[in-house]
Amino acid sequence: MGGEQTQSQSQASSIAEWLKEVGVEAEIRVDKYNVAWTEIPPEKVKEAIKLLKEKGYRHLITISGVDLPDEGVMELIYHLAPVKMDGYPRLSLKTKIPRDKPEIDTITDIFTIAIVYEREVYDLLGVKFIGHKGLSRILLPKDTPEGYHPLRKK
Amino acid sequence: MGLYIPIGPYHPALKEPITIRIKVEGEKIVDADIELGYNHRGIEKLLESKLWISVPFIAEHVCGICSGVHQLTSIMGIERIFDIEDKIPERAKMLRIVGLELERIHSHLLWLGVAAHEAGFDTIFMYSWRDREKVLDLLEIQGGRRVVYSIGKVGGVRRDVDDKFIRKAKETMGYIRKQTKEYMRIFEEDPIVQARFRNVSILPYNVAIDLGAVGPTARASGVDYDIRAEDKYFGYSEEIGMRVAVRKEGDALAKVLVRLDEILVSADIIENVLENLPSGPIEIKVPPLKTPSPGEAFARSEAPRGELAYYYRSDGKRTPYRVKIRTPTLANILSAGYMVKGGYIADVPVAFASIDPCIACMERYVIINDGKKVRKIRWSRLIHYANKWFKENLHWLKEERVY
Amino acid sequence: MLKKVKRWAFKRSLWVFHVNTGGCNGCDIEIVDALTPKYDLERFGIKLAPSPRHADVLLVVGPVTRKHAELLKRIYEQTPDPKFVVAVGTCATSGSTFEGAYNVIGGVDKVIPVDAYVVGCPPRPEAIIDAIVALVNKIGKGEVEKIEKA
Repeated sequence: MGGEQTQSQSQASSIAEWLKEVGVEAEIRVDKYNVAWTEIPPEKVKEAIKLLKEKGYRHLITISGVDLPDEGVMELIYHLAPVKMDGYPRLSLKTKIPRDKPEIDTITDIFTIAIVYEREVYDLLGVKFIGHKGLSRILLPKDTPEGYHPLRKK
Repeated sequence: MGLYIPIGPYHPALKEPITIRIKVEGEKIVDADIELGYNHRGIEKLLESKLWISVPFIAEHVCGICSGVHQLTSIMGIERIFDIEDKIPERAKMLRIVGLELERIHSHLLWLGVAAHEAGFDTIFMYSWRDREKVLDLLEIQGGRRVVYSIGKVGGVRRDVDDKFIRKAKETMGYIRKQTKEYMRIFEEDPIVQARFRNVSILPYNVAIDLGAVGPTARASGVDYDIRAEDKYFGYSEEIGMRVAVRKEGDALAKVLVRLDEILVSADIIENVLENLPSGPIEIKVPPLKTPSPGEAFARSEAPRGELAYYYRSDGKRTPYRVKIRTPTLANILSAGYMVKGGYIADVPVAFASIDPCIACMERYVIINDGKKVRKIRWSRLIHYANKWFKENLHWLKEERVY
Repeated sequence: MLKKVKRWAFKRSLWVFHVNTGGCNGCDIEIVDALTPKYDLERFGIKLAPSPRHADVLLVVGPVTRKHAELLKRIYEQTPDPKFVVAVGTCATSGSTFEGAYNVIGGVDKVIPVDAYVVGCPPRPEAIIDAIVALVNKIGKGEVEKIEKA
């Protein structure tokens, strides 16, 4: 048990080192299910994801959005998985954006599949992904009224 | 690398709900767009008002074909939120694997029949669905029902199995193996089948990676990635027979062969697990799970169609704060759009079916824009058109498609 | 008029059109299963129609998502009279677990009139066949108003 702990700790520090390369000081927590969680500022997300992809986190599982009205923010979680990197944890990269102006740069130029996931977050939460070349609803009918984003908390 | 951007409506007056829009030059498709939303029920929001313990019973109705993996993946996430995952007994984990692999077999046989039907091979459809009934019989014994069998529960599995089940399962797996090898032979040798599947809707390796394809769709293009081998959840391992089925060609034929190969792997796993089923309880006795501590959990698994992911957020209440479900078909949707391009209109049924889409398959429309006119055709009519077109053009197509 | 009724009542083959309004596919596969040799719907003279214009019976599945509601109405209008609607599955009957979800209308009868309900999640192929056959028998016995009044 102790050996595994050290391994996941050393992997966590590798990830922390990489994030330092893009100017981010982040704390990485690896849970007992080998999923790593960390939070970085929104303006660093694109650079960080680009670097992580180069380092081997080449699979974007999905992008989750969570509305946190009590904190006045929306949280975006980029779920990444390593490919052929023995034992490295899946990584949930979190960031917080202001709720009254929920915007962030697109990552569709890094992960093409983000086209679909960003549209989903836009559709259900109203987050605007700057630079996305086709940001429109994907699940709700196209004639849904502007401003209706059902996953927002009242 | 070009971006496969969803293209807007070609005809502003067409307000009908449509699923696939294609732009053609003659019979060749030059652009494609796939629209979703038909089955969007609002489940993620609904789950925010349901008790944690109820979540798996709703999750299993997200998809009636792969209800088992939805239920068990949702359970995996909940067991992580409640921090009881390491207490799940071995027998329960192994029975979960049996249920999941039986599901994979029934789902792949179902798909085989549907894909064959879409290409006009109704005999294969009848045979594969007949074989599938035997697997449904096993699922009915294990779970209690033949569709939406509800095998799992938070903390273990709902029902145990006995020696009779184990004997019947072994017998069925022997039969399934024999049938599957026969299907493989048909797909590898029959020239008419080859004309519809070989070199059709090719997804190259680089594109599969770039577009984030998952499951057999990706593995047929050489992407060696299977969540059962990556995460080894519930106890999947090489020891129990887990092996990743991969092909290089990336065409529709490869996608068929990967799924058939996976049926063989599943049969191996089921036999190995039942041969060495650990004794013990099938569930842990836990106090009623009402409120977890605040936190979050992530769970993923290999559904028959590919990677399925659940994310949970808890704020310490009796209902989840947020549930996010990412189904494999969503991850494959851009690949489907890619694969349809460059082929003939008559290839659309097979090309689209080859990703094994978990979308209501009955009321699909295809909008075809040939530069001068835009026409809308119902899916069943498209299949009819495709089969007719192939009959008329098989003589030169055979040379183009078959080695 | 009487001739028309008799013709209909003694119709040897009933054309059925299958519509999914956003269901999970569970009911769909049991309906398709009803056509396979184990259950063999065709021996009752029941056939799958290629389009609503040829249908006598609409088999509707799913809780009816908003995107599907318009489409369902249109399909109903395209189906010639006399026509019957069978709501297959608990979702089609009431919306099932999805009742109350924001994108779900919650039951086929909220959009078009329904003649028969087959409850189940999903109902077994036997139950589906049973319902269609019962409907046909009722028509044959002259117990269905819209046929008698036609």
